Formats: sequence, C-alpha cells, structure tokens
Amino acid sequence: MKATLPRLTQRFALALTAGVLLLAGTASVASAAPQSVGGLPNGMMINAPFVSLGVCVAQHPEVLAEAGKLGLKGADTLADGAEAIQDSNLYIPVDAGMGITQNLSEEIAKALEEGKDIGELLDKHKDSIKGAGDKLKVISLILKGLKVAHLTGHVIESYQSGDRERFAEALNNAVKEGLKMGGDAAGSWAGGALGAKAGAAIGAWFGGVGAIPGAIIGGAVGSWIGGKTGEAGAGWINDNFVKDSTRNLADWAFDQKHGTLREPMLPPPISGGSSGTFGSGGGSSGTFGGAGSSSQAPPKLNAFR
Amino acid sequence: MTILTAWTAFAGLGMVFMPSARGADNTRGKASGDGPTAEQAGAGITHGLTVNLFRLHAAADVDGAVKKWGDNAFQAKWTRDVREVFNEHETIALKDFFTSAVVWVGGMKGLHGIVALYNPWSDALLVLEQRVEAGTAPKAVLSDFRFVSGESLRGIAAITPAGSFSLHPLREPLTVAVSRLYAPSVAAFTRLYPPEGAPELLPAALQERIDSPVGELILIKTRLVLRLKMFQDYLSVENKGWMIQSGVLIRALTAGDPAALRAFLSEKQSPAILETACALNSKIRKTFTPVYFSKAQDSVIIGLVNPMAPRWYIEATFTGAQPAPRIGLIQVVDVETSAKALTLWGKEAPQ
Repeated sequence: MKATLPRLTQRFALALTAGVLLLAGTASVASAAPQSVGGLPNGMMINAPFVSLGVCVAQHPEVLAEAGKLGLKGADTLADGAEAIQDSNLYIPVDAGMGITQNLSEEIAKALEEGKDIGELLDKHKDSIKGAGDKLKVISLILKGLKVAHLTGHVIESYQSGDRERFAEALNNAVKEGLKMGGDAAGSWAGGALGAKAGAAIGAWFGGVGAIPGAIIGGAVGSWIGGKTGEAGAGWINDNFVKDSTRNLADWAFDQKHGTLREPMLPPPISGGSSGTFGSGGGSSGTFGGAGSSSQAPPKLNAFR
Repeated sequence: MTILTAWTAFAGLGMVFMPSARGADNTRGKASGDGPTAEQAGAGITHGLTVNLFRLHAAADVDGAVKKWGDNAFQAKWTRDVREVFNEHETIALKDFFTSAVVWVGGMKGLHGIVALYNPWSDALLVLEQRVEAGTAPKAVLSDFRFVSGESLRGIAAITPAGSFSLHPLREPLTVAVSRLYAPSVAAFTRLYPPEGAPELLPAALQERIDSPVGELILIKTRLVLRLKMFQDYLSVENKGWMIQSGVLIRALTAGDPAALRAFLSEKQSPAILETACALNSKIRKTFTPVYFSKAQDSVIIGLVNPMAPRWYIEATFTGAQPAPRIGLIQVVDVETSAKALTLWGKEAPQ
C-alpha cells in the first residue's frame, strides 16, 4: 500500500526530530521545547507540503552526495541528524527525498486533474463578476498555454550584463542595511531572534501547532517600524512591548508546565504621550531613549512608502 | 493556553483594552499623518503574531486552521466562498499561498484589528478581521475575511496576461518582477488600512473596485494553479538535476559556509552577496524551501524562501541548458527593499 504524503512526512518528521534530540544528547524537556517550536521540522509544520519540501529535497541521496563533495557532509544538523537517525533504534526507513517529492507530485496532479474547472466557474458566476468577459478571455488564454517550464529563454543578456551586476550589488547593499537591524532589532520582526523568543513562549502553549511566529509585521505597522526611524523604533518596540513580556511569558509558561505556577511579570505600563523627541540617547545598545525609555514618545510613522 | 497568553500580558499593560482616542478615530481610510500610537503598534504586533500562527497552521491544514481560529460566521463564509472555488483536492494550492505569505497589520482599535496575509508569489491578499475577547483568558478569533487579488488591491482595472501573470513566463529578473508586485501592493495596503484608521474589513476605497468573492478568487486561483504546475515541473524526472542543484544550494545555505557556497556557485558570484547570505540569521537560512521555478532553454531560475520568515528569499540563476558545476549565481532579496529595488533597476536596467 502506498504511503500517503502526510503519513510519509509525519514519519520523516518523527525520525528527524528524534535525530535532533539524539544529537542534543541529554537534552531535557525544558531545553528541547524551544528547539521544537523554534524551527523545522516539528509536529504540525512538517505536514505542510511546501514548507517541508526544502527539507526533503535537501535530504535527497544525490543532494547529500553532491554536498559531500563540497565538504558539507556533517557541516549542518540536517546531515548529522540523518546519520544519527540511521544509527538509532528510532530509525524509520523512509526514503524522504524521493518518497515525499513523489507524493507531493501526486497530490499536485490530483489537484490539477480533479480541480474545479475555472472556465465553468467563471461561466456560472459571470453575472456577479466584474469584467467577466475579459477575465474569461485572459484566464482561458493562460490556462490553455499552461506551461511554466521550457520557455525559449530568460532575459539572460540583462542578467549577465554589467548593469545587472551593478543592480545586484546595489540591491545587496540595501539588504545589508536591513540586516544591520537584525538580531535583536528590526530583523526580529521578520522572523529572527524575536520570532524565536516569542515562538518559544507562545509555542510552548501551542502544543502540536507550535511554530515560531516570526513573519514580517508589515503593512501599516511595518511602515512605522521599518521606516526612516526603523532601527531605533524597532528597538523601542522591542523594549517596551515584547522583550520583557515574552521573556516572562516564557518563564511563566515553563513554570506552568512544570508545576511552579506564578503570574507573569509584566513590563511597566507605557506612556503613549505624544511629546518628546525620539532618538536621543538611542546609543549602540539598541535601546531607544536610554534609561527610562518607556516614558519616551514612540517614533513617528514615516510617510507611506 | 495559547498565543492568547500574550494577549493576557498586553491586557496587563492596560493598553489594548483601553484604546486611545486616536485609536478610536475613524479616518475612513485616510492617513492622519501622525502615525500610530505606541498602544496601536503594540496591539498591532500582537494581532500580527496571532494571525501568523493561523497562517502557519493553515500552511499545514487549511480546514483545521479555519475551524480553530475562525468563529462560526467565519467558517460558514469560508465554506460558502472559498470552497466554491477550491475543492478538497485543490486545498494544496491554498497551502502554497499560506506558506510564503507575509503578515501585514492594518487598522486596529484595541482588541479589534485588521491583519492581512499577502503572498507576492501569487499576488494575493487575504484580509482578516480579528477580535480578541477580553477576560481572564482572552480568546482571539477571526471573525471575517476577504480574498483580494493584487489587481484590485492596487486598483488595476485591466486584466492582461503580462500584468496578471508577470512571473510566468518571467520577462525580467525575478527580483524586479516580484518587487513590481510587492512595492505597490504594500503601499496600497498602507493607504487603505492605516493603523489609526477604523478596523474595517473593506474600506470604502477598496469596496469601490473589488469584485465579487468568486471574481477575486478566480484570478488568485489561476495563479495558484499555475504555481502548482510550476511545482510539478520542478519535481518532474526531467528536472531532477535542477532539483538536486537546488537541494545542494539549500544545504550550503543551511550550513552558512562561505567556502562551500563559493565552491558550488559560479566564479562570477559576488562575494558581497555571498557574505550577506551567510549573514542571515541561521534560523532563516536553515529552512529554505523552493518557492519559484522557471526553466528556459538557456537557464533555470529557482526561488527559495523561508516559510517562517518569507520576507527574505534567494534568487538562484543557473546559466546553462543542463545542470553542471559552478553555473549558479544567487541574490539575497528582502521584499521590504522592493521599492528600492525598482528605483535601482530603473537606473541600471538597459534602456
């Protein structure tokens, strides 16, 4: 009987998680919990086919062989974990690389074959759809020539031109600027350190669905954080809203789990006053306003980007 | 207990339960220019973190996430509107949407907020209305939603293959093509949903141009179906060699080993970009997964994204008809630099 994709991914997750724990040696529950909520693979998330695809591809035997030629064997926890799993009593022989990708292919094929016909849907709802005729025309055209591979060529000449290289370098500089805000500051809002911290706190309570909540907090609030005053602004947000509360939440969560109940210690209420200046005394510590910063006004939102 | 523990903490701060006067303002979608208050930002972040849990749950189990996080009305609407367009077999396409969507926070009024998930790869927005029930154990529930196509979000009336399907086929660098979708979309969202505005699911300006639920979802579905085909191609036997190449790149990025990356990538690879890739937080580097694949006669372009932090992605270009050693070039991209990317491209691109 052919294993289903969820079953395979679950088995793979179990094996890989076991490997990670084995690597951790005498890892206690306390230290293992943040690991399991702080990244892949873990419980629920491994069932997400597009999330786990990269992990599965990276486990393909031919990938392992090629990576080994680059000296990568043993250089990351995935490889170590796989080896540890195979030496352990918990090893479940799953051809993760091929099995999962094959099953994903089958799931996709089923979706494409048994999906609702878009043309029929358009026709059924044409009276309620704006510009149904135009949409039908364009969508039909796209679906008729549904082919994303084997194009005649990419715009390689521009890719390889000096222009493209300059562009890549300039863009990289912009990305690097953003990374400077990483670690404990703005990068945190995009899934870095803060995401892990909050994930440890929140995920501990979230059980099987535990996952780090580290997505970008973009849009209007993101504009505020990531704007001109973003670097210090993010530090200010971190100091005033999240850092202490999540740390204490983590402590509180741990105590709850292990029987030492105590109320979470909350950061002091903040003043949302509109006066005062922002940025003075920000300093290299990444905090806003220096000591007593919670009484400072928040940085102002930049004009919409 | 759940994420709501965090809401309890914020309740203890005495802020989200007592929205400021500014928070109570209804700007009717117009920016006040003063920006959000500290309370709004803090509540907004917590709203965002909560919805992100819904996103990650849905990436694994759409129906389960809807049932867990949505109230009865939300669930009924989901069944009525979304199931009409995506049947049970096609749920996998929605998992793709949730996997690489970023979280945007809009208008909020204390425990009532608007949060959206935008996926630039399918140019689709899911606007969510979230309410947190106060009490000793606050409970966050999604009370309403609306899928919005990128075209409607940005106010584009004319639907064309080149405009609505700009990533397939790719006509310019992936970096630029994605930026053309992301930059104006986040700008439009910010105009429509300022944090000091009322937490309205559909602001008047958007109501004027949005299509019926099916009309919006049809366009989104077409792009998601196209992406399923894309993944099918990526996973095909014919393209196995390219999958192996991407797998090796994923492993090298995971290791954050500049020497291994140098050995794998082209001699033309910019060292600065390589260093930047290695400078990414290790949590971001370790779970890259394919998000884009485009094959041409002369090259292959693969996009990698971390579902946990979809803000960053890697554009990998392999120049050659067949997989071979040292033909790859990578670019690290932060979608938040999209506007800058377009400006730079405007200066540098061949006229």
